[in-house]
Amino acid sequence: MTHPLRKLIHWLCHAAEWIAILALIAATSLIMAQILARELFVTGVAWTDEAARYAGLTVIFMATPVLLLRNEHVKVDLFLDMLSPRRRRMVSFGNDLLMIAFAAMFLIAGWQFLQRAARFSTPAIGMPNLLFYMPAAIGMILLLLVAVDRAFATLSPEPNDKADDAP
Amino acid sequence: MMSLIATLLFLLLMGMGLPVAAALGLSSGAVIIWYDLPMAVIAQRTVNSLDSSPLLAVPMFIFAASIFNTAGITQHLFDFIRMLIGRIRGGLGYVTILTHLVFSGISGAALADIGALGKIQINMMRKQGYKDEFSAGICMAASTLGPIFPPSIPLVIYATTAEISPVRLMLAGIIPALVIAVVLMVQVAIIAKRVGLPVDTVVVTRESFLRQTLIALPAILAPVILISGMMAGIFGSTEAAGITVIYAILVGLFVYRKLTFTNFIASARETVLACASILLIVGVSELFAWVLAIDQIPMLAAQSLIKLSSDPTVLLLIANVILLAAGTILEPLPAILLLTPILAPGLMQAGVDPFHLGIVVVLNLMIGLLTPPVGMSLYMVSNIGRIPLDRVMAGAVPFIISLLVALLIVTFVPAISTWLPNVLMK
Repeated sequence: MTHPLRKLIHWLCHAAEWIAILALIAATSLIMAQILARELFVTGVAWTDEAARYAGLTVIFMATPVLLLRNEHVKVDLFLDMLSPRRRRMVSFGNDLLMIAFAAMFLIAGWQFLQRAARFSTPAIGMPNLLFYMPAAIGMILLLLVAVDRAFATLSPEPNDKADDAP
Repeated sequence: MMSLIATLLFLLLMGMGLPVAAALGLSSGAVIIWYDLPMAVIAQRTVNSLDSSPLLAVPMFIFAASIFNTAGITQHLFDFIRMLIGRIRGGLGYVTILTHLVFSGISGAALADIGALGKIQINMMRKQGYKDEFSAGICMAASTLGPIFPPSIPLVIYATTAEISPVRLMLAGIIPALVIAVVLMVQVAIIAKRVGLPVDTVVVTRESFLRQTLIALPAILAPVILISGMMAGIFGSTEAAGITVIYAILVGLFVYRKLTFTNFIASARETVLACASILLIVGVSELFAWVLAIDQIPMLAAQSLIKLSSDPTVLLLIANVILLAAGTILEPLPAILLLTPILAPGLMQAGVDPFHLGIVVVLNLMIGLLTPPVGMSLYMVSNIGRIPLDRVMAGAVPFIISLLVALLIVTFVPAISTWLPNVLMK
């Protein structure tokens, strides 16, 4: 039976993926609005560029934890594949811990950065920086949760591995 | 010293199978913390580098290619080009090159092109008696056209890293892509004559010709609209990408009528994941570049290169060797992001045109996709074509030689890259 916490993480990633999809559609619409405003109405709309960039950031950071959940990040697993299942699991566990360290480092750095930056707003829309950097923060919190879940999953024994390790 | 530690740590973590973005972030972050530099930089530089209008072109181009793919454009393109030139000896070899060339005007990544076209091409060649080695080799070699011909994701990322115009750089890629296509076609002609490649069995009637042409026309028009819009200065690279998405939606809905709400969302889902996997690396590599800059590596590398020679051609040849070697162990994207700040200042100081350099860098790294151990095209073709890896590698060798010939032509004749943007964008 799937643990309720694991279910919650999966549900949150699913929600993040939908937010990323909507942000992608929003970014496309904003770019088109920018072209139409300029070419048809001969007017520049300054906020569309900033809003499109914000949507772009949302796409990247909302989809990042989903990539880890599905194990689809760009990586070189050539050497990992050469190891025996037992050693591979040990290295994979090490990688999960390093992923936790990466997400935690980013969150601590983000918190330090926002100590000063949170007082300012974006130039065109006037959006508070706290809100502007929110997708990155949420994405990294989710990434941390997925990495913790993966570390626990790697630790839990699978019956086939013992047979694989037998001489 | 700081840069050396970060580089060694990055290679170690990447070799362990850690995602490239995390390996770059942790190696840079560890050095920043160890040397007591402000930790806030880690988040600030990563996020701010992604807060960029030119980079928005990346998700748009991926989205457009995915929608076109969903609409069944790849099969129509293949059938159309096969009908035009398939009936000559080794016809499917030429068809493969030209399909990649036309599709590269919609897509912008080598692996995406193999994913979209590879299966159709390899299966058809197998059916007509081509050796798997040849099919795999020509498919991989032709896929290098994707990132050179506009639109191109690697060129957009190079332009952002080198702080040059993405539109001008993409225009610089048009003639080099044609040169590569011609070199590959010459090789197909030589192989066809030497080993007697099959002649296609496709039957063309007047009705089928008209029907196939009408079906393929919207697909062929996509790169025409995109390139002419950029050439005329009507829109920039990101806007061109946005227009391509809308064009793809309209074609998918009203021409091919295969775009439903479900597969539109599936395309969007595929896009957000592909985009995050590429752009997170871009963001974190900015941090790595910052560590290199703190250590003054770009300046030291520039001085060292100038000491070696002041001749731009000699320096470009040295850069080719470094980039080809890097391409065997690094994926193109991290390689562009890591090596551009190191190589570009010295080469530009020696008088190399930045747009010519961009094309040379990307072409070198695309050749790396065909070389082990990190040649992703090899694994992808092996997987989709169900061809053992050793046969795929054997098939790659002759085509790597042709690509190296094309690289030398592009390196020694800068006008191939610089003439078109100079004429169009004065």
